[in-house]
Amino acid sequence: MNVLSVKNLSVKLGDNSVLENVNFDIDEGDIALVLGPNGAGKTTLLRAIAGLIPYTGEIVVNNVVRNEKETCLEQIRRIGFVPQKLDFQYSLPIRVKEIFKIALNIKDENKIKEYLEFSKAGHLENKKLGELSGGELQRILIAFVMAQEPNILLFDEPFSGIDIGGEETIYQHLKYIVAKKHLTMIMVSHDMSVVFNLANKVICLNKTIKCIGEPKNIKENVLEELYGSEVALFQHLHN
Amino acid sequence: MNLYSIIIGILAGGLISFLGVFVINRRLALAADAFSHIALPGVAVAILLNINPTVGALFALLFGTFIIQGIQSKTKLFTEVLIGLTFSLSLAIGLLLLPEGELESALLGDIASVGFNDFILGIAISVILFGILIQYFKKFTFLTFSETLAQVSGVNVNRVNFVLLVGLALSVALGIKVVGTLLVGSLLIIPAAASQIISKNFKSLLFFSSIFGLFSVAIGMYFGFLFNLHPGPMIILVEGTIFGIAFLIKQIKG
Repeated sequence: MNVLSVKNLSVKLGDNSVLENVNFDIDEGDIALVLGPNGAGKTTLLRAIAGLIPYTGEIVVNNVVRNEKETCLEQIRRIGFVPQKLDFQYSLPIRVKEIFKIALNIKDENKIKEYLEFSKAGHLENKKLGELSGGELQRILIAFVMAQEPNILLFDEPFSGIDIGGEETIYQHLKYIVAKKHLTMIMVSHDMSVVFNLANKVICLNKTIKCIGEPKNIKENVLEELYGSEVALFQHLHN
Repeated sequence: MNLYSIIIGILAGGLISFLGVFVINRRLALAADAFSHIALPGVAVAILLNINPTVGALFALLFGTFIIQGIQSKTKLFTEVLIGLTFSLSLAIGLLLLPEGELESALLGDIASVGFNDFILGIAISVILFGILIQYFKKFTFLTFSETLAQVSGVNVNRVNFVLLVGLALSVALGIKVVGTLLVGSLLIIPAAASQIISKNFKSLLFFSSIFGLFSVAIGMYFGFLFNLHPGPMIILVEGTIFGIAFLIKQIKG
């Protein structure tokens, strides 16, 4: 079943055209990876789908049409967006469970614990946001977004700012979440080697769509064209 | 010094410092300081027209809020640039318009001379400000750690930012009588900053910020009265001392 359709999507930032005529469909349960060089418009694509920036074209979310510049937020509630980072002062003394209590209005501490446990972050509930490592913050963000019960999850560079060990754990964790909660996920990442085993759909983007399909069908010359240099595509297998 | 002064002073200290937590965490500290000067031409015109200066300040600030938002949406200049522009213009106009002899109380406040009308006006502004803080508490808090997450979660970020500016305008109008246009920004910044250094969670951050603001005004007014000095600068000195103590506690406790 189709959960997201992007039709003739174009985005301009100032006079600069960042995305032009982007079209694709995402089905329920898909894990789509958006690939592309820096400045290709990957984050912009996610932000447009999340309704964070104005665009032209049409985005259909859960069978609800959001037309251009439509900012009716009710309709996009079921989209969860996990940004690359949060924008706060590290000295801000706000604790993990407080962001759930205050911002999401969840009164029940057990419920908060449950969301955190699901993200394997139960032990972090009393930590201040500013004291979390990159990997820990990523888990908290996932728990925070999951607490709003989305059916489509947008991920902007889930592995940025995380060391190699942590990268592998987050990757395993995403796999677990998707399976457990029957989610559809679209993620932006540079890290092809890790993500290719997770994704069942690849969208190559550089202002326009350069290729789209299953990972195994993406040809290396397309990736070479996309990144402008020799790119080797390899899959590493997990037992 | 009378009962009206004490009540308005303490209300202003507590409420403004509560809002200050959101102001400093949205990186609006300097903007708030500059923004407060927009009140000056309003105070000047009110004195010339023989109406309550706080009413003049309030109109100038609300007008300033709309002007800043309006020009910003047309030019895409940063808010701080526009606040810088309107701040110097306002100060220039205010200084030219202010009648002789009124400059000191406009710049440094005049908490000792709160009359019945000032009192009623002060209470009315406090009630509206309190209402805004109650109504928008969750949204203001959400925006202190992520505008993006708030927007995706259905928060109308533009509206919340505008309400925060209105809250700022009300705070400044309320604080001008207490410490004057020159110093009102520090009521927003210093107690919140001191509390941020020592607080262990968000609840205590808000609590201590309000308590520090409230006590600074009370103690500053008392010392001003005792030594026959201007209460406005005394209040800020007390705030500075509290910040110093908070810093020392943090250094000792780690």
